[in-house]
Amino acid sequence: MSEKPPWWFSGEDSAGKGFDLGGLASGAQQMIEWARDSLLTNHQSHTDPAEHQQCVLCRAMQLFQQSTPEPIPADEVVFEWIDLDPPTDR
Amino acid sequence: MELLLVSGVGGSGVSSVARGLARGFRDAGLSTAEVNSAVSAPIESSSLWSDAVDTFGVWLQGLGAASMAADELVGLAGLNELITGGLVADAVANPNIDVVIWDMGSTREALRILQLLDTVPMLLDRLLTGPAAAQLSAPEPAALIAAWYRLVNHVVAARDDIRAATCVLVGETRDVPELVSVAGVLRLYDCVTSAVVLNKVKETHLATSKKQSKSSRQSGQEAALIDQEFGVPVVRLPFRDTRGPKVSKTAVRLRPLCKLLKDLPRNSGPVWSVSAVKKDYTFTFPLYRGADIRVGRRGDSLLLVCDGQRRQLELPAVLKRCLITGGGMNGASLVLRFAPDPKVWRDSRE
Repeated sequence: MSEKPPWWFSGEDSAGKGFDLGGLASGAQQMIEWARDSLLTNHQSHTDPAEHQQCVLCRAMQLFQQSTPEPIPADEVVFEWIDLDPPTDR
Repeated sequence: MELLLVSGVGGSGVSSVARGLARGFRDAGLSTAEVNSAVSAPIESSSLWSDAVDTFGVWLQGLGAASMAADELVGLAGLNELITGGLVADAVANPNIDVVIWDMGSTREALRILQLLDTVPMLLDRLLTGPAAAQLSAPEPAALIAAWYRLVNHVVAARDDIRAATCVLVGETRDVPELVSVAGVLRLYDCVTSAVVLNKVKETHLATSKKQSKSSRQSGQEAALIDQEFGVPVVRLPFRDTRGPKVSKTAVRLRPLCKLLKDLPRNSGPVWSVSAVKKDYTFTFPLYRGADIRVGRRGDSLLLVCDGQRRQLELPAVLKRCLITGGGMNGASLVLRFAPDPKVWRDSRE
């Protein structure tokens, strides 16, 4: 519990509840440093994710492009319900 | 087979069958992991949990909302299921584990988890790519993106594992109509039922004498209904009225089913299909006869609502340029008719 907590954390003492704040804060700090050094600096110059397979951020973008629908235009916010025929058994 | 989902009608012995199958696979020499949705995952020790805490925490702060305590997330509806899904995905990816059995509990609970794992990746996507991302003022966005990337990877892996999983449904003889409809709704998430276990069948119903009782004949008719609808094996386990089920005996009775499941190939690809009919197209999604279905469209997305369960899917490329001209339930399948949209599809006759 000696480490500085993440900047967004409210700081409530959760000792005794099974939550290791020190571990989380330490891990978050390491993650921030690693990400800043190895990810963001290089990623800033990547305009097309498909051309940078070695970049984890570009791969993340592509992961979603492959697995989820395209972003929805702002003017298409409501689903249009389809009138279905009565059930048939042909 | 790598992931086996076990679900069924509440109180029919779903967990007993799951434990029996696990024992059966172990007896066959397979390394088997068991995950039970009813047992809370050890979330504090899960990397997925700390990733979720990081992601939500940074987002709240970045949007100017009040900061939160990590413990506040523990009660967030669905988080435990997401973490369980992440644990399952980790186990499936573990080369030292041959079979992962996920006891999902009642069918209602299973469908809730499947819908959650289908929806959350899309919502997480919107968090980063939508207008909210532009408003972020996090001092260290790299931390958010790194946690978000791992969180999404886990959830997407769990969802994809489920789509390739083998599913066993459990119920009693009287539950057959419900099992038929649930097997249909499970297809909504590309989850195909591979076998049905009818549990607690009275010994007299198991007899094969010519003088079958009325309820015995009824049992046979209901089993035939399953065979007719899905063509999957039906295994009957006898009723036991003392001291509860013994896992070892259940495992022995499930041994033939274990062998059958072990040899099944992984489910590949979605359950739906598209076929061309002259210049039009037909989109067929197998569900079950009598399904209560609604269909919505928004741009390139199709929303299917079957018995209250929702699945949003991206239309295949050829149908994105088409208009829905009609459709409905035809037998046990939803059939939608598509015609080329003249606004985006140039007529070849011109």
